[in-house]
Amino acid sequence: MKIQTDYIPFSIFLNELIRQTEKNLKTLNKSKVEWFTKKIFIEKQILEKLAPFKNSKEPTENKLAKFFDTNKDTFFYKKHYLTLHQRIIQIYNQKNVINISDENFDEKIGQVFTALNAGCSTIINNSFLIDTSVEKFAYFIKNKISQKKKNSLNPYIEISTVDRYSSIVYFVWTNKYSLSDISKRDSSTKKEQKTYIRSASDLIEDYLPVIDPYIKKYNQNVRDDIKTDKEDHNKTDNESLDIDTDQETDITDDDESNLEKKNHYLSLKDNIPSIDRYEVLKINQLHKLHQYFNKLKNSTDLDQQSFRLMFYMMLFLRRSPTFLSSIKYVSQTNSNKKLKTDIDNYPLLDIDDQVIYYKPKHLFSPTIRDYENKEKNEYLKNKENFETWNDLLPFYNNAHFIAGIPLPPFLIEMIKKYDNFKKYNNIDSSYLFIWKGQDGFTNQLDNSKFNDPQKQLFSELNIERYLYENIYRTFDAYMKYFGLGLVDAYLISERHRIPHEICIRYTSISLKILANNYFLASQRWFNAIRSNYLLSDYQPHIDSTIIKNMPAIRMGSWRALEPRYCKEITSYLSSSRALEIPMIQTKPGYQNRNIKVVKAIFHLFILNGLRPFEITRLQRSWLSLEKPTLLVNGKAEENARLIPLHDLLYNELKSLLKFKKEKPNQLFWMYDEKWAAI
Amino acid sequence: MKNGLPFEIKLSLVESIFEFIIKDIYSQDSKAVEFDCYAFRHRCHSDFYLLGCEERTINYLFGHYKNQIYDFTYAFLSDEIIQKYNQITNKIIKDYLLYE
Repeated sequence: MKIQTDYIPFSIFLNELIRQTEKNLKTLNKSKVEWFTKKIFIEKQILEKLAPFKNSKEPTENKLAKFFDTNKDTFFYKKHYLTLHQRIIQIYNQKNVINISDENFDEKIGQVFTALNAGCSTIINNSFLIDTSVEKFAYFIKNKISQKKKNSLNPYIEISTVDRYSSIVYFVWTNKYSLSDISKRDSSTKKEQKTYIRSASDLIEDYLPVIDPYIKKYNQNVRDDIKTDKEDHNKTDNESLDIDTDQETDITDDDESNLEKKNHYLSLKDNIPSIDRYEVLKINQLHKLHQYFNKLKNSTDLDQQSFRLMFYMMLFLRRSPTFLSSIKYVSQTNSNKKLKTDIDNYPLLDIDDQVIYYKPKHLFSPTIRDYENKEKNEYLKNKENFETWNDLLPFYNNAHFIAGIPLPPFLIEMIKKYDNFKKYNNIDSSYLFIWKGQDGFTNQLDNSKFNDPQKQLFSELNIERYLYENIYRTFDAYMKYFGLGLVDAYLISERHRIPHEICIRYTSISLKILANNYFLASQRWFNAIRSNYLLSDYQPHIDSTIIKNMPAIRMGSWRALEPRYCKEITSYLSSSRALEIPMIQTKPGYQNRNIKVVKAIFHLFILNGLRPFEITRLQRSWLSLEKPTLLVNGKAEENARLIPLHDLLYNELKSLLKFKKEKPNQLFWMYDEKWAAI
Repeated sequence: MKNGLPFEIKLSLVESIFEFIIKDIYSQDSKAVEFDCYAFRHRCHSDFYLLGCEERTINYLFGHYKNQIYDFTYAFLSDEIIQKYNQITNKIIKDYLLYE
């Protein structure tokens, strides 16, 4: 394939420039946060300075030269650019560039694919570029496919990425089979090789679900154009929808209509200021929001006050407005019963403890009312659920399922101010958040009310569309930078993003440990918002002494045994009653051994946390006689690991080795009289 | 069999023994309780966490699945882990096992 080196699209250059800056910044050995700020700063600067060059029609080399000269002393020097330019050409040579305007477009993509299947070494990184806009490309493919018949497909292609900096699409073509496998196959059977070769339009069918939204966008744009065209030229043919692939390249300065079209597209792209669903509020925007809310501090409007508090609670707790609007105060008269009675339905706020108590979703336990209305409850309709809970209820109290969210001090100050505001206006209610309703006050949130102050707000920031999810994701984005671990973030928000990284499935974690981490991170973030600067080394002094040593969350605590059971099991095993366990009763000589085995297993559970199947696999030789260590073979995915033993346990296990070697390899075995008699 | 082969430890046997003990202590009259040996393991896990053990050492001792963050070699047992382990187990033994 011929590779064009004369013409380099400007967007590629831009991409590479940004990537290069990232690399350079990484080498500076600065902290993550500082790096992050610099990156954003430089990206902005580059985008601003490249804007005048974007639409110029000159060859890229001239563009670059101009660009270097104008920005010589600003933030980079010339050497850097020259090396960069060479690097771009290198990359450009590595990748195979295909223009849609080429006549042999189909064949070329087919060639690429066959070369990939054959394990061709010339194609590096399994990738190539397509040099058009996304919408145009998608529309082109749709037309192509409609012309041809559909054949049976095997999805070879997996990944496709759309770069947001440019209008270029990177389609990365990967095979499910690795290249080495294919090369083997090719050497063995040449007949199969033919099956891999197929035309481009067939292959691209896999991309249709990815491409569909772009097609819609493109159609909309074209329709708008047609409307304008109709007014001017009275065109009626729908065939004008079909794209001439050379449209962009044929544009000259003389054709004013085409230029207008192009500008129209560009203006459409630029003048839609909206936050994407997956986007995050930037620090600048948060700072502006904070300034806006500071003005509302002394306002007399109830809705504005509650909106202000709710925004901060959403931001720092990552909770939905439905959860927050259902928060109630702890009733002081029934302070002892507070956790048992009300918490089934509402999260409770305790200002003295600085904690919101709630019941996590995953620890749903049916109440007595649910049992009375068994048929209505969907969860208890299942027999299995009903039976398991029926069995477990006598063992575990309802209070075991309660978890807490610690509240940072600045949020508590805000809550207290909000309370004072309510008291000043003689508003009494058990709910935390209150809004103006049609008939007096309500705790229920009207979306319209929430939207009105929102519109005022975001009109100042030039943002039209706005979702709750944007606020949630800001929490995810920034809390990492301010030192909150994934596990702690999960404990507060109850939303796990990467389940593999959370190793607390069966633990209960105390509020104190959580609060120390969370308070620091949240306070740092709050300071950053106030000062409009990401990094702030200011470490606030925080007293978390008020928070009790109760668990923040219990993951599956219904399966973790309570400590009092552990105590009484040990006392049971040491007493004479242990000899009466029917499974242990054997010959008098071996009775002691059997109890010793049970004890040792119990101690391995409690002190080392071994899994039961690991204990059954233990062998004599795995217990080292020199050091108090034991080798354990875990799951198939894991390697064998060495485990330290406490002296008490080590002596127990050693004493077991003194018995006869009837079963030589097994460390744990029990002598049963029934088996001996057979 | 004739020589009196020992009865190997199996999961069902271990569970039934501890189940019997718990029933004998607490709920002789109540219904049968589902008991799982993992309850001990989870107890141990939460104890280690509450007594201030690091996640990294916990993951080593409990043999959690290796992932990208907690990447360590299994075959090597460092002195730090042994020290930490001894500190914590002494506390646990004081709580549970010194029943006298």
